[in-house]
Order: sequence, then C-alpha cells, then structure tokens
Amino acid sequence: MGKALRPKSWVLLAYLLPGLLIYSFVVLVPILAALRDSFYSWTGGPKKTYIGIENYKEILQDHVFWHSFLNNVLMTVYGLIGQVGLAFVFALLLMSKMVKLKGLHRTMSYFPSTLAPVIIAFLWMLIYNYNYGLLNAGLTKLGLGSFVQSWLDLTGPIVLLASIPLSWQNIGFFTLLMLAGLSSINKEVLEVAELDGATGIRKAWYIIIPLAKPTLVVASLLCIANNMRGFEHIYALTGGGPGNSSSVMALYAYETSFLRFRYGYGSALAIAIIALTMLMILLSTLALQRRRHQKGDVY
Amino acid sequence: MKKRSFMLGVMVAAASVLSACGNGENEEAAAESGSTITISLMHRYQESNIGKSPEDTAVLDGLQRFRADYPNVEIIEEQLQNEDYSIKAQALAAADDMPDVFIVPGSWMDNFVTNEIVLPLNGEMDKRPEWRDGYRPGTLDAGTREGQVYGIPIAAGPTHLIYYNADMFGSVGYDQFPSTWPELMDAGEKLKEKGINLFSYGDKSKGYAMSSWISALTDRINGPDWTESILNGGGAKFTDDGFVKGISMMSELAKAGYLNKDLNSVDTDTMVNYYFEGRSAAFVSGIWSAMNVVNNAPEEITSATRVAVFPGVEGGLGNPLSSSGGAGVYYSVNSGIEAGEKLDAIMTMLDYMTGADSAKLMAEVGGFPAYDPGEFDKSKLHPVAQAAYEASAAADATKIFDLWFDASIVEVLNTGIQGVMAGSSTPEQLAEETQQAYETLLNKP
Repeated sequence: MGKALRPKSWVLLAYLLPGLLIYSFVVLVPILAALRDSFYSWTGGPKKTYIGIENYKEILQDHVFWHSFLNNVLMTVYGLIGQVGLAFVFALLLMSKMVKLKGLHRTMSYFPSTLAPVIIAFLWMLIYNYNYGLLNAGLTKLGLGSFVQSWLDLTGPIVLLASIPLSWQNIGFFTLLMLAGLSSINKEVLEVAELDGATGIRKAWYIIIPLAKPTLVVASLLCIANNMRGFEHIYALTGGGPGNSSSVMALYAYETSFLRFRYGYGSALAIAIIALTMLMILLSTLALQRRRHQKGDVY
Repeated sequence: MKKRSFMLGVMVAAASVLSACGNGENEEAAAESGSTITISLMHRYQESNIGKSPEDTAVLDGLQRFRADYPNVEIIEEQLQNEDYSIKAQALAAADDMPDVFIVPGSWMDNFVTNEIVLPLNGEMDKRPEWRDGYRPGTLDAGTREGQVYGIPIAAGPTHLIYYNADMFGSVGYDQFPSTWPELMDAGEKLKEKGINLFSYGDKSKGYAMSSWISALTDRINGPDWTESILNGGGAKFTDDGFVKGISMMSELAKAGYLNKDLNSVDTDTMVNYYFEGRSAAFVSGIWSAMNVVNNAPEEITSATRVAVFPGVEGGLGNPLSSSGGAGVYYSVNSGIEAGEKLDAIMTMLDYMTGADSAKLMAEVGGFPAYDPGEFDKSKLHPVAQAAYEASAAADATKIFDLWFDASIVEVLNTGIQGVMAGSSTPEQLAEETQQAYETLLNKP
C-alpha cells in the first residue's frame, strides 16, 4: 500500500476497536476470570476460599487429566495424518489430470464440513452401532463376521474411532486450503519439472511439497489447535466414555466444573489447557521453523 | 431534518418514560386486586411422557388443575429431558440465575444449601400441616439439612427392581427368579448357550449403574450401616471389601458375557427394547419401567414378565429383600423468593403437583408417590405394575447412592463404573479413585 493511501494509525486503531472490544469481552475477560478463580476452592456460590496454588498441585497428580491430555495429543496425531495428510493427497489428485468431475469431488468432500458436530456424532453412532450399524453389517456381508464389535465400547482404540468422524468432517476444509495453496505454485515450474522427467510421486515430493510448505505449516497448526481444544465431537459421540477412556481435556474441565461442582478446580484445568495448547503450538512452530532454516529456505 | 429527528427522539423517550410509569401503576394495582403473579418453573417432566411415566402424568396433571383453579397465576414453564435438565440447571445455578421453582436431585442439595440457592420451607410447610404430615416416612430426608426442609419430594419408588421373563427362565429350569448368586450365574450360562443375555444393560447416560445396581448390591453386602458411615464421614471407606465385591460381581457378569456387548454405548431405552425384542431374559430398572413394559412390550413379553429383586449375597449384612429407594428428587424454591403472595402461590402449586390428589393419580397409573395416597383404585393396574408396586411397598428402602452422596463422588463413580464394565479398569482401581474423591470432599476447606 502506498504511503499516500495509508490511513493514519489512529484511524486504523479506531476501525479495529469495536472488534477488539467484543473480543476482549468474550475471550480475554473470561480467561482472566478463570485465572482468578483457579486460586480458590469454590463450589459455585457466594463462598470462595483462597487456597493459592493447591489446584495446580492437584492437576500435576490428576491422572485423569493427563490421560485426557494424551488423548488430545493422540487425536492431534491422527488429525495430522487423517486430516492434513489425506487432504494433501486429495488436493494433489484434484490437481492432476487423472480425475474427472473435479467440481463434484470438491463439493462432495466439503459437504461434511457444513454439518453440526452433534449430527456427525449421531451419524457415526449409527455407523458404529453393534446390532444395526452399517460397519458391522458390512463386515458380516463380507464374511468377516468375526470382526464384528460393539465399536464404541472398545476402550483401546476408542480415540482412533472418535478421530475418524472428525477427519471425515474436516478433510473437505483442509482440501480446499491445500488447493488454494497449490494453485499459487508457478505452473512453469511444474512444466519444467515434467520436462525433466519428474512425474507423479517424485514431482510431489521434490517440487510440490517444498513449494507448498507455508500452506502445510498453516494447516498443521490449525489442526493442532483444533484437536487440542476438541470438545463437542467427543461430548456428542462418546461423552468421554467408556469410563474416561476417550476423555479430552476440555470435556474433563467441563465435567469437573458443571457435574462435580468444583468450579475452582475446573478453572485451573481450563488455564492448564490454555498453557498446554500454547506450548504444543510453540513447539510445533519451532520444529517447523527450524527445519526450514536447515534447508536454507526463506519465506 | 435535524430538527425533526430530534423531535422524534424526544417523543420516543417521552413515550417510553410514560409507558414505564403506566406499567408500574398497573403492577401495583394488580397486586392489590390479587391478580397476575408470575412463577417461573423449570422441571424434567414432559407432556410427551404423559401416559408413559407415572411421575410425568401425575405432576403435569396437578399443574393443569392448578392453572384451571388459579387463572390469575401465570406459570412460565420449561420442560426438559432428564439429562438436559441437569446440564442446564447446573449452569444456571453457577450463574445464580435459577427460576423460581426447580428440581433438585438429593446429591446437589448440599451444594445448593451451602451456596444459598434454595429456600428453607419449614415455615411454609408448618402452615399446611395436613399436607406436611401426608408424606411417607423418610421421604423428606434427602432434601433436609440440619432440620430445615429444602425440598418437596415427588416420587419414592424403588430404583432397583428386576423385570424378568418367566418363560425364558423356565426354559432353563428356573420357575422362580434365581435366589442365590451362584444360581443366577448358572442361569446366565444356560441362557448364553441359547444366545440370550441374562440382563440387558444400558449405561450410556451415566447414572443408571449407580441408581439401579450399585446402591442395592452394595447394601446386600455391607448393610445400611456402611452407607450411613460414609455419609457421616464415620470412617467407612470405598476401598472396603464390601464395596469392591459389589462392583466385582457386576464386572463378572460383563466378563462372563451375560450382558449385552454394547452395554456402555446404549441408553436405558435401548436396554428395555432389547428385553422387548427377546434379546435378554431380564433387565434391572426402577419402578418407572413398569408402565413401559405394560404399554410398549409385545403381548407375549408383557404376559411373561414378573418382578424380583437381587438375590441375597452369602455372608452379606443387608436385608436380602431390600431395594434402593425412597425419595431423592425434590422441588425446591429459589432463595430469592420472599414470604408473601408469590410464595403462597408457589406452595399451593407444589401441593397440587405433589400432594394428595397427584399422589392418588400417580399410584393409579402405576407409580409410587412420596405422598401416601392412602386407599386407591388398584383395579386398573396391570399385573406387572401391581407386582412392582407391591415389591416397592415390601422392600426395605436402601438409600440411593446417587441421590445421597455428594455430586463430586457420584460423578467419579458414574464415570468409573463404565471403565470397569468395559474391562479397562478393575473394581479395586475404581474403589481407589472414588475414595480419593471422597477424601478430597472431606478435606475441602
């Protein structure tokens, strides 16, 4: 933007102010309130007892919380593979010459993103259902009756099973993001690469991935942030069950506050979630940045 | 232009000020002539359950009668489903934004009393001795703290009854419900060979295990003294043998494959449907399921259904005929309501909804009201409902854990039992976790 056209900084600030005010009111103020409450033993009424950092000490020993944290991390890993990874492959396929009816594919893959999480959870509950579910019916039809399970009652792979619907929902969004990123790659570069004999997978690996790196980084960070604060999917699909096996941090904080009436401890958990999520994002950013420096790329 | 808009503004302001005054005068006039009191009511009874659930039928009938008799009282009613109710009520309580009259499960009572959310009703009840003295003994207890009554009970039926299919048990050689645990396991094995589950079980919306299974089973083993000791902080522990044994017995049923495989992912409605479909030979539930069996089961299932309770446990300290029961859910009044016309109207409304007439109706449609209905017409009762009623009257009521224990313990148990039934944690681990929550509660500043 030219200097002459640029509005004065106070004008810019004035434009930003309404949004900034609303944001502070609905985001920053509650966070600060939670930070204050996290130092109290409080059961939701007028009585609050200041207990210093006792709540935080309890978090360190609370294995349910750390189990939930690991579930978040696990969901993030599944998300990076199932959402970002697959979306990248889809985007490459949509760019290639093999695929016809690109518009239809784009629309179809984006469709689940328009559904509410509760509806998606309900759909997948029907798919996973033991007696009437699509999945078990399919297995039986294929003669794999021995694999029939009451899927949502399995405590082992429950996080994976809960991550599949999440990937199904978000893959369309990430595909569009990737397509936008890939379309900005200079066509000439790709043509030259093809002339040099780089096709298919080699072209993707040596040419497209390095050039699409900024998009991949943004998508990964989005995916990490989404999965670290994941709540509604798990709440609607499994409720954190069976037992605590699919519990995630946000759900645990919610249950602690609203079902156990421990608002002080619940607030401390909420602050812990913010801290841990920030930490995860920071670490992943550092990791991605460092690799970039090693390669000597500059963006 | 400017002038005109200014005038317009002045007029609008004036109009609003004037109309505000008008409103104020109207309200005063209304109070003088004794008309239009507004009561906000939030509860978990729904129109759609009328005819299915005795509680909903009786309470909503009472409300309708009240509305007809007192047209000057406006009731802003909100009907929610059980689970939705809990979520919304707890959020509103945290925000100190409760309606005038609402439902409080016993396990919340401590918290609501401590935080002054609910109003003590002794004075009001004493004005109405006939109504006050009509309740069955013990039904007010879970809503009473230090002699102050904070809640009006609604129903008092047992939360643990076994509805079983006599034909199916007959086919494996039991013409009565098995009277010992080894026999019960034996019947389970024989039914399993036929591809039938001994019990269908559905604990998706947490709480079922606690109210219909754990309370009665623990009492069979430990007896009521243990429960009292837990409630008074008298030294009993959740890690005591008896409690662990009760949970173990449940997990053994699951491990042996006598329950449906999807026990944590289906709700109680589906559980009952499995019984209707003949997938299971029995299910454990409260008295509220009696009418469901009568109204919705296939004819051959209804006619074969009988009612029993858990068999006694060898060496157990509790009464082998007892069932967990008694009242545990209450109507409470917002602590912000002051004595006067409005509170009188509220008490009258509660009398209509839970008192003598409502209790009679509840009993006639197969429920077990907290208010003693006296003699009522049993002729209309289906044999299954009658059997459930008689079992209720005969059962020595054991405390329902999820209504007496503090919410923080209830939540840990409700969540943990799912893990045990799924086989991912052991009864000992659950006892350990529950004990930890219990100690946290005892040490709370």
